[in-house]
Amino acid sequence: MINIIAKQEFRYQLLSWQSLIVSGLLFGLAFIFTANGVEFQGTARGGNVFINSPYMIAKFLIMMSILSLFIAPSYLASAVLKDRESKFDGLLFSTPINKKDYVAGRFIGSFSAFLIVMAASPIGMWLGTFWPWVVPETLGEQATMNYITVYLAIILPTVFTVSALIFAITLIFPRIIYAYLAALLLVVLFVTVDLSTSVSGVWDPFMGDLYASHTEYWTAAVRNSQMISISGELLINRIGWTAIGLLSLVIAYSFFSMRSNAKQAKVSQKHEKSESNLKAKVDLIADLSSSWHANSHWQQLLHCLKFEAFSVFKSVPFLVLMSLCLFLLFFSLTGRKTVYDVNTYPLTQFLLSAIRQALTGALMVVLAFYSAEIMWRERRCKINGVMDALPTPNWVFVVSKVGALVLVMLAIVALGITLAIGLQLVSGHYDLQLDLYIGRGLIYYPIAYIYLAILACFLQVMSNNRVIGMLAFIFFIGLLTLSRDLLGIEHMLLSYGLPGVWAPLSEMNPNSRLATAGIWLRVYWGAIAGMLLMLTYMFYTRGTAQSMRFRLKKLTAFKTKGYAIVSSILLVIFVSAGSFIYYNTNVINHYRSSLDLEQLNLDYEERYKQYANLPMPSFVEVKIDVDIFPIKRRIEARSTQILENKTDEDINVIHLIFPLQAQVVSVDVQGANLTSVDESLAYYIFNLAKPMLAGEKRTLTFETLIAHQGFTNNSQDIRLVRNGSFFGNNLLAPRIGFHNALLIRDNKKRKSYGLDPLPRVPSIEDTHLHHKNYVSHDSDFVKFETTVSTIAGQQAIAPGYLIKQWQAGDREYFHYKMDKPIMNYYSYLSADYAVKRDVVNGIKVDVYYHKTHEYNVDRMIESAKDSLSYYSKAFSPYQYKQLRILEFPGYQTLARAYPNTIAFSENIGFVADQRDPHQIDLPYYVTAHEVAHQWWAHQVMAANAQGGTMVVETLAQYSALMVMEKKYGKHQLRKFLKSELDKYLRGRGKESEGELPLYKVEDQPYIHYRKGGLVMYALTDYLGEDVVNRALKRFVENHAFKSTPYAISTDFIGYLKEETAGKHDELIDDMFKRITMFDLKFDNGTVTELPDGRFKVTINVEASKHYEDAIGNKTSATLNMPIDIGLFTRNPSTRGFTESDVIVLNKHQLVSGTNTLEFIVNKKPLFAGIDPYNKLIDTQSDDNVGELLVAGQ
Amino acid sequence: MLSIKALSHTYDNGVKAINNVNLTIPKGMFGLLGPNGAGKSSLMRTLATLQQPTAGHISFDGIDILKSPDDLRRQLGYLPQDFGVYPRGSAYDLLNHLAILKGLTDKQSRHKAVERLLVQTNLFEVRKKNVATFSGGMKQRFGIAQALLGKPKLIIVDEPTAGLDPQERNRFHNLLADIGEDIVVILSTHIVEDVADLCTNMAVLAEGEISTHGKPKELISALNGCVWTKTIHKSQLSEHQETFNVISDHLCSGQVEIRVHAKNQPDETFVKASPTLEDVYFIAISKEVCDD
Repeated sequence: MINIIAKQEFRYQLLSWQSLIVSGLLFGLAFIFTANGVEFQGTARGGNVFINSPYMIAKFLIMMSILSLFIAPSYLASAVLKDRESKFDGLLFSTPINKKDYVAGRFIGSFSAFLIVMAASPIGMWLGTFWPWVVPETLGEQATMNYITVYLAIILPTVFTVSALIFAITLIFPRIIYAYLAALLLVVLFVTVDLSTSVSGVWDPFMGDLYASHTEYWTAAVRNSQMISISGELLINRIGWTAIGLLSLVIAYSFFSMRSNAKQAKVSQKHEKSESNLKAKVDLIADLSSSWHANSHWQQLLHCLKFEAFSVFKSVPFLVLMSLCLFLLFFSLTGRKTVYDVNTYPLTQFLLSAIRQALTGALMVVLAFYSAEIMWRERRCKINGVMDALPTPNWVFVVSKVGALVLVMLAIVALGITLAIGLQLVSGHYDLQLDLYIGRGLIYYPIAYIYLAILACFLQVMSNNRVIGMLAFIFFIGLLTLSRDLLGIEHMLLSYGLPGVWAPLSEMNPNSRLATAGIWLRVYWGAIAGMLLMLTYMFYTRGTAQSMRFRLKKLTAFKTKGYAIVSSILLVIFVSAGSFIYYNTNVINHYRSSLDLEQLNLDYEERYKQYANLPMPSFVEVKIDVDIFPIKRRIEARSTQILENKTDEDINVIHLIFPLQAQVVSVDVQGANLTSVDESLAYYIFNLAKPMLAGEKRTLTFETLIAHQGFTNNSQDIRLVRNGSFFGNNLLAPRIGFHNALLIRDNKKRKSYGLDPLPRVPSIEDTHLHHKNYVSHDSDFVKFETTVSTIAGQQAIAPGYLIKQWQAGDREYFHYKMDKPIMNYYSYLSADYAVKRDVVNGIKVDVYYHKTHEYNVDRMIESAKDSLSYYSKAFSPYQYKQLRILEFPGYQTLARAYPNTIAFSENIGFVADQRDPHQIDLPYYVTAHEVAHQWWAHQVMAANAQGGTMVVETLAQYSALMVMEKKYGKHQLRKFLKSELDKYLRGRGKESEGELPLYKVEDQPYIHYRKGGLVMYALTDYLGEDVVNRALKRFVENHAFKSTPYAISTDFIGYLKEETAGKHDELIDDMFKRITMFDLKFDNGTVTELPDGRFKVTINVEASKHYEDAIGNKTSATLNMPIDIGLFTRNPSTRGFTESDVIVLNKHQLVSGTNTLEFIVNKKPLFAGIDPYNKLIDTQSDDNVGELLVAGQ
Repeated sequence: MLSIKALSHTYDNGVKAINNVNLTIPKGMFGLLGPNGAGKSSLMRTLATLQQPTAGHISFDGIDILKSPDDLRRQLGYLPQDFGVYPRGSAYDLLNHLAILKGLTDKQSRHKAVERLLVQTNLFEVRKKNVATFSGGMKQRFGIAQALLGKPKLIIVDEPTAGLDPQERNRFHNLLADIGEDIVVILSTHIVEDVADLCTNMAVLAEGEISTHGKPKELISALNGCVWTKTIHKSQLSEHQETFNVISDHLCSGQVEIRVHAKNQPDETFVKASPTLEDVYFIAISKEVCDD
């Protein structure tokens, strides 16, 4: 019997339009994914990971398996519900079919049909590789088995679990909404596991989180060759969820009864008398007639809105949903992590963005699910026969339904805002900024979703099929999201409902101008949404579904007066808002799609590459006056700069390239004629009447103007703002001569344009380029002087010392001059600042901050003082008399060191909540790093060659680590080191062109910051701080302020080897010149108490070492070196671990393989570990420390 | 007065649900009889503005209901066949909700109207109960209550008594009988008694066509002297069916009583019977079958 039911169900479900459409969609997506692999390979982590590699197959199919949630209800739930809905249940359940056959048969049938439908994605993916126009470079070796393995081992359990849960839920609660609710729960669980670090990936029903974390450190070679093995956590996940699926089926089976419960109406005797009194009072000739008047339909609308909204609010699914949102919000609001897991103070701007992060997914899901639910409610309840014949116009029904959906979404957002305000009050933050909560939180943010909700309802009505309507909506969203990448549609006018315009908030700059584009866009979309709403109620189905031809006739309603007026008003709004946006993005501003931008790069290369090797002069003196108009959004710059011919050739032409954002008001080169102006690229060519001889100097004068108007399509200008402007010379001043920075740098893209690949950075062996630094190809150290003005009430700051300050009219003027040559790299900041000043060793330390952001100012000052003292002593004296730290709005999260001036983002340290002493001291660390750049960049500058960023960033990272170690002690750095290690390993997993050893780093942040800091710290541990600092001291002595040549990484490595007299060459080479990976593991260990009260500890540790090449191919190596072994009373990874928990920590000579070590100690250790502080690079860094067994127990 | 002219409806799959129906329905109770699948519901739904016919005209008191369905809806009370309700909500609340949608926007008079209908349909005692838990009869009474809201001039009741026990059906008949005679009430049913008990005019719909219509009494009296009956053994049934124009047969204490339609006495074994509405109905639907 089971067989028959299952077979029949299977055929019913599989041979349907729905299956055809859904599997077609899945097949299509997967097919496009592989056939068009070039588009996606770029987005695939690893870059040169093949689209048909085991890694990509599993990754893509796992992603696709998430879609199963949206599809499952229409198979599994319908297998249960179709009998009830068609009222066939009574008949069916009275047949001799028993419960077991019915439940099992229906499940097996619908599950197998569903499984086959889901198989469309691996099949599509596989067939995609045979597409004749597939780009062969995207494909690796074909292994059909991989698709089958992934489908059976990873996808099958997911599909089973999803099916079982949905089927079970529907058996117990026979309503489709509960099936979707179960799906929603799983989505939320998935999102939560994905976002939260505290919830184990085992709980991810799709295994996506575990898959990501287990493959995170995989290099391209591994991704291409290795199929993930389902063991350990992954096996637990697969088996666990399958078990949950089975269990839910068993539970549901025991709950399910084929007999429907007869409900006995309770009869209450109490009120019988008063009831009959009431009944007697009823007027039996009361008028039944309706009273139509002008407001009738509005009254109906109001009533229906209440009715619809309450029917959602009171429903169990909604309450469950709200509690899920509560859960998401709680995580998001309390976890406002910046970097290094440091939380920020609960400023409204962060809480709003936390709400957005928490709810965006939830709102999308709510509107996709509830639009279907709310539009189909009458038909699902079968009350549509009554409702559709009522004298209530369509618009009352549709507007009230959409309105209810809007109220539901607003309720969810309001929940977030309430929580946020509660959180602020609890943490004693009383500056609530309610206007932001209302304006941004309740209006600006959700309105885009309201528009999408209208679209979702429109699609439901047009498709007249719940599942197809929902899929059409998901398809639409996918299309919009992908359109940027696939179709090149980038204009904001074409991105309906997607809140893509960036309008960041900053307490420092409360001005709302950044939201202007977004507001206009919302007006424009609003008109579209209005039209869609009108179409929705025109096409709203009353009674039996009609043919589209007949439905189209309803458009004639536009001829009636009311419709005509409303639609023409909407049309006027649509056209005028659209034109206004177009006027802003395309008329007063230049619209450039990313293809246009690429075209500029291509033009540049095509026209001017021929001049790449022309001799050009360099800047030697910069004098520039800058007027900042933060309200008028203007910057005027006038400059006189001295050029010098530093080559040994005669110079006949000078090429200047101005920044594209600036208008060139005038430009003049002494003794030269402007012979060619290329406006589109701002490329100016001057012919010199008399050649510029070697060593000769000429004057360049120019005026540039930045005048912002309206808004642009792509980027909001976050540099010139009402309060807190921050921009560098690259916005105002030209560069000399052709240079590579303006070319297309992505080699994959270059190839598609038929261009030769470019090296990321010139090779370190290419010595003739070592006289160019990597910051500016056209200048070495220059003299610098500037006068900057801004509006009254703000201070404008640039590198140099303030020589003079005055007022003229309503403007403030500041004249800065530097007494020593600096890199041609400077910036301007203008804001209403509060200032805190201090002095260390005669050096002034000033912090300029936004008046309410003094939280961490003292930490910054302390760090600056500690750093200046340490670096001055260890490396060389500080070259300036002053150091300034300046806050700028948190639109960018970074800090940047200019000569004697550090620009420091609001978000990275000024508003970090450092009250918890166990966290990494973020402002202290960032300050120390940036102060170190005054040495590593502003004293010793690196050549534009491989390894350049090692000289600048790695050494700054080292310096900061030393200052932090002095302040917090060497036992407190583990957290920082571990975090750096994880970032390095993750970074190499995402590497697109191949990893390089540290000394050849090509501006790869995961290497020069993360690995660099670790390597330097480990080396210092082996060689001694004094030795490393001596090497650095010599490095500074020989290379500071030197440009012929600039420093390279091997210079420093050479000093290091000299200082260690060749004793550690092998180690130094392992660290700098190879990609060396250690595999260190604590196996086990025992503690035995000795008769004398001391403790004998025996531990086994495993150690090995190997080298990897650029894409991760391994070569094993012999390990024979001392490595940290520690005994502790507390695990070093626990919060609050301190020096007092350390019993022993020193280095022991270890060899490859298992090493057994013995200790006799006075205190009883509980934990032991090899390299417990994660100084060495180890892909499995969590197994270094373990618990000790107590012998005899 | 409702007038239906040349109304036809063909479904996409080619099935002709309504085939050139012409009917004029005067005020009072009108019964539309027909076997299951005759197209009654299609016709009812079309009259209730829920289905667009492929051809034809319908007008009610001068309103073209195909062109301006909303005008008709203001005068319409419709009790669909087999309707459901929201899973939550009391009878009072749901009726109140429907009352607002029917245009009873004045709060006070609406409450009075709702209470009156609840009393009239004998649902007052259960007005606070969830409608979804109502029995079939209660639900049908609730259905008639909602149909009466707004004092409609046209009431369409589609198969209201199907599945009701005799007592409930009786109660329902009484309700319908009270509706009044100055409005058009169309009752579609496959139960002859419903029409016999209630209707002043009727039509029989078979295979989408009107096979007969008129006043029940006149239709019955037209058959006077043409209906004959005979009690036979079960085994003789097929033989009789071949020989005579048997319009109906039913079991009667083990024997079969057949009724035959003929101008003259078929043979001496037949006894003249007084015609009933059932005979009218069976002749009407069998005529259709023979015509095919």
